[in-house]
Amino acid sequence: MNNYFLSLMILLPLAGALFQMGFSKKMETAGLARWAAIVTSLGASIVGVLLVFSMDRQTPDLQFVETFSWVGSYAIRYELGLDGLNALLVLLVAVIFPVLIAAEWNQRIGPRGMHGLFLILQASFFGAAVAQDLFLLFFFWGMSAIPFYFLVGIWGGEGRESAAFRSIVASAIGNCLLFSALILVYYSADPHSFSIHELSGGKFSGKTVSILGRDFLVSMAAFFLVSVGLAFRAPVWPLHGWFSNVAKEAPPTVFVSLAAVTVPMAIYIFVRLSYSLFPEMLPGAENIIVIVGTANLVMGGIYAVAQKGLRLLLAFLCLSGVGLGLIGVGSLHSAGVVGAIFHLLVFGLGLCGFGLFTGLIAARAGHSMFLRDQNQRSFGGLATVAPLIAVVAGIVIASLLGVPGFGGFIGNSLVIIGSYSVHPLMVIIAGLALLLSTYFLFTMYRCVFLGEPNPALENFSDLTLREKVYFFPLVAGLVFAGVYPKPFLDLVRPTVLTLLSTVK
Amino acid sequence: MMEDVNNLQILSLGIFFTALFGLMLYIFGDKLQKYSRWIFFLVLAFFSGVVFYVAAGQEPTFAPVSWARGWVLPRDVAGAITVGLWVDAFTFVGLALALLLTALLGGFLSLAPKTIVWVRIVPAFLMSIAGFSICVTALTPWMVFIGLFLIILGGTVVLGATWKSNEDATLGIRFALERSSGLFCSIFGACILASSNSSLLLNQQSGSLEPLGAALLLLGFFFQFQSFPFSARRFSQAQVPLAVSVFISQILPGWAALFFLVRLEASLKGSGILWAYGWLCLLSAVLSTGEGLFQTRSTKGIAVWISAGFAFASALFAFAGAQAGFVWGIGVGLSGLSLSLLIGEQGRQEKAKKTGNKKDKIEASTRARFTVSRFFACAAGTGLLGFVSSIGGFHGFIHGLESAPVVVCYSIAIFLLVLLGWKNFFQLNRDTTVTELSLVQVIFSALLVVLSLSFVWDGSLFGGVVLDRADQLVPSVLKKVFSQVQNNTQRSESDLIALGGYWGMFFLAFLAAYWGFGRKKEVLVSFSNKFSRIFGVVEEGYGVDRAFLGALRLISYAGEQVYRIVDQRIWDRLLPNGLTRVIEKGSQAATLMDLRFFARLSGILRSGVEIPAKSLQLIQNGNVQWYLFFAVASGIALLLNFLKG
Repeated sequence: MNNYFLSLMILLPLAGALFQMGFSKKMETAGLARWAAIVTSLGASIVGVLLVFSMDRQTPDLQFVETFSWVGSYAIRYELGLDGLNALLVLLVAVIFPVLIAAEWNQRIGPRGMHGLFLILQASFFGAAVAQDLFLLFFFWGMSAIPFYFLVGIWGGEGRESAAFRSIVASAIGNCLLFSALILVYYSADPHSFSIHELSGGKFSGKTVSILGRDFLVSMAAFFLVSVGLAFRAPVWPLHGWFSNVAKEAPPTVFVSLAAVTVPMAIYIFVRLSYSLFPEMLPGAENIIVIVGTANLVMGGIYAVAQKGLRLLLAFLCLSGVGLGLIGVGSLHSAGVVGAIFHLLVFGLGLCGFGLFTGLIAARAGHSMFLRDQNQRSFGGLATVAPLIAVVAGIVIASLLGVPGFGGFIGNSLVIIGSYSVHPLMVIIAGLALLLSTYFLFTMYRCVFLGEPNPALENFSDLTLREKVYFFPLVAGLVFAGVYPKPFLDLVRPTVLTLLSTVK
Repeated sequence: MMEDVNNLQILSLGIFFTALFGLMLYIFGDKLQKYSRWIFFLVLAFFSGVVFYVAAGQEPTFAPVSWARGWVLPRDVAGAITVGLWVDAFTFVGLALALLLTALLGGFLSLAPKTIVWVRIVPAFLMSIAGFSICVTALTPWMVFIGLFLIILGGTVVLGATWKSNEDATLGIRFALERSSGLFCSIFGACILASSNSSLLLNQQSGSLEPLGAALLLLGFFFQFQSFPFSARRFSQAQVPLAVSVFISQILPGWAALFFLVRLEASLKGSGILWAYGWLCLLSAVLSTGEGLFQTRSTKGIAVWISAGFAFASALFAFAGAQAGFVWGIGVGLSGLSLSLLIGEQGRQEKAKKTGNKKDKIEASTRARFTVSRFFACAAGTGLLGFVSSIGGFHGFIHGLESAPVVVCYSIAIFLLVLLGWKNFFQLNRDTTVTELSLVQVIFSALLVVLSLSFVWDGSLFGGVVLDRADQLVPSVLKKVFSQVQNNTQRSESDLIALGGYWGMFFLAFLAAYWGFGRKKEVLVSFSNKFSRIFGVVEEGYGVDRAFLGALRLISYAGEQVYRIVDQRIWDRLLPNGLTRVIEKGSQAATLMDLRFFARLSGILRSGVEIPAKSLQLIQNGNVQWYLFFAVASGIALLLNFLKG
């Protein structure tokens, strides 16, 4: 029997976005529009959080399933469900989007538009996380690319048009490849179906497709298309060029929604599709996945060492995070995969925190370059004028580095534990790259927060009440996940073990 | 049993609240400046009470009690991360030592006439003590990592105590970076051990550890000693009393590492890497002492000597067993702390140098007080008979005699360490403009010296080094803690050779120190001034810093170039321009093809309709009409004719 909570979770933000269109300019000025936005966003998030915490942790099966026929003639179903693999992504989206709307509370230029687009993004990501039909999943995933074009193109910096255009082109290429894979899968299945559940368990093994006169395994071709398609949006080095461009031009909150949500979501979709639909491909592809992940981690670290600004540092931190996630995914070990899924949650929260304090600093100081030419510091001593910001930044950085007691430690450790036995050399290289991240994050912290206060920043204010309120869930999440990760891990493990049994 | 577990939980709560107070004071301390000293003593008293209560519950046997639970993944699952507490006699030794020293230092700071930034030092003390307590009560390496993180945080705070100067900030972050790198290295090693299903419960150590994992774990703890290739000399320049920075940033991390090594001894012996670790530490100790010998400032010399001492203690641990390493580490720590209390105020040194004011020069009797205090402080860490460090030094020689290379290197290391220790002594004494030491400093230093006596640790006057336990006066704490160590009651011939070798090294080093630094003309200093370029490199840590910064610059350059090529050139220019050109050319070609095709099609269509159209046109013209009419009429006539016929 269908219960409609998941649909409610998706539709509430969409309804909120529609409401934004209905508000007049007068209502916008009065603040009604933004209150409506935060209420709908929070409402959807609360539904999501309640659903996740009321899940049965013993079962790997889908829960809160909603299913009915959508386009019956093409076997397209409206099918939603929650299990261990997507529960943490739902939590991530639930925490981040109300935070982003709160962060843009005082947006002067088209606030209704911005909030409405964030709400559409929230709905899209919720939908992509819980969709159990490939067509539906693609529908929401594709929908999530469009708001970024407007968010970057309207509210971005000087080069916003170019950045927006590149983001939509990269998304379009990726989505095109992904869609090709889905169509291939659909037509290879007998009877035709888009349902992940019906297609899972190696249904395509042995089936071939003829392309330009040559026969290819369906699973190989589709797996390749899915991988490359998601690599564009993930982003995976060297397909990341659009990403660094957007990092420079997009408002910090917009870039946070890209780095902290879209990227983990891309990795989740990759895990969902490859483990469910193409399990027979994974043993052969694991080395490639781990090598790509290691390359991402190393390149992200090398890029980051050279950065002098917070925005690009954030972008390349994200690149490193993608790498670590892929290493865990490619390990095909329960600890590694569980660690990778957990890593998506804490890494997303950490990147969100980093992005938001970057935004705060940029808004108050007028720029976010912590080093100028000749390595001269342009900030300094912010911890004395804004100690709370310094503490929040310290907690976020500690989590990103994997300091014990914070969420990042759990994810990093599990990935290394799971991956070392199968890919020792790659894990050692990854470990060196993680050590490099210690250097550039400490250097950044030193340049921004410590030392002699810069006289030009003596009016730099600390966190306001609103800012404390929206930073709180991020910081609390990172600390809670680091001290007591059991509830999250218990959610993920049964599903991961079931998927791994299919692979092996 | 339940009561034991309750006691453990009480202890863990005590540690938690101590750490929490430290963190809260650090974050909100500026508002509590006036009360920070009181808070410090209150929290210390509270935590001491908790430890005393738990210890009382474990008396008189101090039988080991442990408690564990799965933290990350269930305990029985491969790769699980388990946390827990383990309390035994060794734990209480560590806790008592740390609390006693903290109380002593706190008392010293309260009485000494200095301006102390209490609001920063107190959080550093509390966090470090909490962290150290976690390290000595940890059942698994994962708990030790949490403790180490708190100690690092405390050290970072204390070194950058004012945080408003760039020098302090750089010092604090440099410390945090080096120590954290070690911490992450150890975490990495522990993860590798967990992936190989090694038992990481410290109270169930058996079998061997996976070599790479064990090596990384040890390497990370080696980082905490700040011995070569790191250097403790720069951290001695922090704007806090030297004793405080030495205790929090050097001694506590070093002791935490040593305590952990002692716990892990059984498994390390089976892993086959202990000998390599021992050689690494020995080499590091030798190189560090070399660096220390060329330091011109006594504060730097003492800091380097402590680091080298800890590295040497680790080497002793590897070659001569846990007890030998442990006691040398305790001796060096207490001695270093004691010496750091006897440093005069630098401000008044500078003033005295400028004015040459006789009032600032020390009187002979007071100078004698300094000299005696410093002598004993130094002796405590150089293995003089009667101090606990001599037990370690002696046992090192006994075990080292089994291998010639070890004997040689060990002798060199002992010689250099003792030489550096006494060099510090003579260097401190040379400074005639040092202000009058207060009685407070002398008393507190003396208390630390007393703590480092063999009598306190072993219950015997000479630590069982000289006499056959005939000097045993009270039960030995060391025997309680290291119950496996056999204390020989009869001296064999090799023991006597060891004793002779040990004493020989000691006196040789003392004489060398006097000859090099104790006379009017500092021979070694003059020699090094002649070759200042070479010895300058040694003084600055053998150029390791420069090499490290060079490597980072190289990586940064590589990052800039990759960004320039991949992101800016390929993604920003080549790809967009290339794609645009391809699309433009393609569409131009398609448009041209389309036009040509359309023209061709038009031609075919035109020729297709032209002939019938022209024919019809001709018919319409008229002439053709008549020809057509006659042709048709003729045809009909012919037809009718044929039909008639």
